Amino acid sequence: MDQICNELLELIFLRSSPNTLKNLRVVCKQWGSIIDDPIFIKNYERRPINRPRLLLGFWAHDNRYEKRDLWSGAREDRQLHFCASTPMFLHPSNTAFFSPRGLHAPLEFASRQPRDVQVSYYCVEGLISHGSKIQNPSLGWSVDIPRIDSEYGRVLGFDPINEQYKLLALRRVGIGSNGGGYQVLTVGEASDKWRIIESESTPEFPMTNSICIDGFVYYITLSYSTQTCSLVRFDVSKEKVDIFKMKDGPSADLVRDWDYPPSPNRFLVAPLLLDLKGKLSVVINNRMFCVWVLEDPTIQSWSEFTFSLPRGLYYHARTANVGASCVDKNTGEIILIAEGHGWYKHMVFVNLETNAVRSTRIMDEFSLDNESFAIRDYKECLFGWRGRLN
Amino acid sequence: MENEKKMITLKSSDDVTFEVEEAVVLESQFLSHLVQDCPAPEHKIKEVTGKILSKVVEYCEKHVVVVVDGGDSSSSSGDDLKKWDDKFIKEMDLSTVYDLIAAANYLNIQALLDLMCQRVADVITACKDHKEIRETLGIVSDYTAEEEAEVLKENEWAFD
Repeated sequence: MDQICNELLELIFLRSSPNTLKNLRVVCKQWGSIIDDPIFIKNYERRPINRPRLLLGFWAHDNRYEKRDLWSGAREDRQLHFCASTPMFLHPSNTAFFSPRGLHAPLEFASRQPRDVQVSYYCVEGLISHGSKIQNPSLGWSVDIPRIDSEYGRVLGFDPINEQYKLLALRRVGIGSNGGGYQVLTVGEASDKWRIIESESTPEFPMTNSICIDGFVYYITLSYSTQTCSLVRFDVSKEKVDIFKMKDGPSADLVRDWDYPPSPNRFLVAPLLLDLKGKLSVVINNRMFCVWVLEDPTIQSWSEFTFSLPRGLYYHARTANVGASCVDKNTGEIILIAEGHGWYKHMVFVNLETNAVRSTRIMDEFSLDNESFAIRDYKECLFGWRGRLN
Repeated sequence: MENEKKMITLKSSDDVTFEVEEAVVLESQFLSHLVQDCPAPEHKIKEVTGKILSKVVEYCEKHVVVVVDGGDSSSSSGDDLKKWDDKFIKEMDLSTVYDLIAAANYLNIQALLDLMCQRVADVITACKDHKEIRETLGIVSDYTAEEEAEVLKENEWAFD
């Protein structure tokens, strides 16, 4: 091993999983100092990856430790599990395994899930936010950040300049002195360090998922009283919320079709926000899929694309929970999960530029509940790694 | 077409000679500059032994064929080449792999360097903990027991 200099060791370490890196730094002092170098960490997180990196997250119960809520009888032992289209990059504690033929999960998770499982989980630069939890599937840690008083929604964002993850909590107008508003917390700080943000308006409930693009988090709200849509933009580094009234683009469709409570005859699925090569896009499914791409947020200029699913595949409310889809950052293709004959799931890849739509069947060996999974373009993340939180 | 091929002789540090086509030499950035800059028929590579240079030549000869044949279905397709690469590394012990990493880096053969680094990374990934990595790669730890405990503790995720 002596013939290999530090520079070459780095090349080898760059090819290891985050979990392996943890082991490597314990091997000897020389290796530890290479890996603990902030420049190495940066290189690791920015290394080019030319494989598709799809992460399928799904909720599963561990039948060995059944735990139910005393009153409702609902299962409490569910956990978010992941399997990946590339081997060896997730922590084993929360990973199903991968085989070259497709995505698989261990048999103990193969049972069908009950319908009460809510899955919206959001993935921002390698961290996953679901419910009150923040999770790093690369390193296998998970932390609970309790809800604050009157909180009815939160979004996770990443500030690429200061390399900080922040949570934005939306508070509704409550009883007594609570006037509602926005609060921010930096992930990694004590969980009670919420800061209040100045804002003229009280937060509206998001009608879409949230998406973080280049240090800004976006989501869309609908005001029921005025029947207008707004695009909310949270500047993660400046901790500032801007609200743009939507006049053009998808707003007419959104207002017309969005019913409250959602009825099956209107939107088949809630509108979906995606990051399409750095541009915010809204996907609306109404027989045809309609994709609105925001070309310029300040003047709100949108361009529109449409596509249909391949024959024999269906995409309906059951298959498509909010945020089940993603964009492959390498190819720019939109990836949806659709259902075909025999309830087999298919991944559908849509290229808006060439208008090409292709599909591939997944998950032969275990059936997932329709509401219990989501797919993401995933990049390993060393956040929560030693030295990153001090 | 034939007889146009220019042959070049490479000589290892321990004076083992290899006669190869020029195209093979061009796989290495370092050697292609060397060949262009000094048109001698023989080149001595002081940093690489004969044992390792024979592996390098074997690799480059295999890979150069593919580039020349291009889209021809006859000889090595991408899949075949991958199979060949797999076999190539499987038959090699780790100390040869290290030597090849150093040689590929020196001679600037990116594909070979990638292949060899991936091999070591795969070996490391297959180990379940730091002890197994030390054992497999034959590394002696210079941490004291206290220092090691401290480093292991740092690996734990801590919040608040």
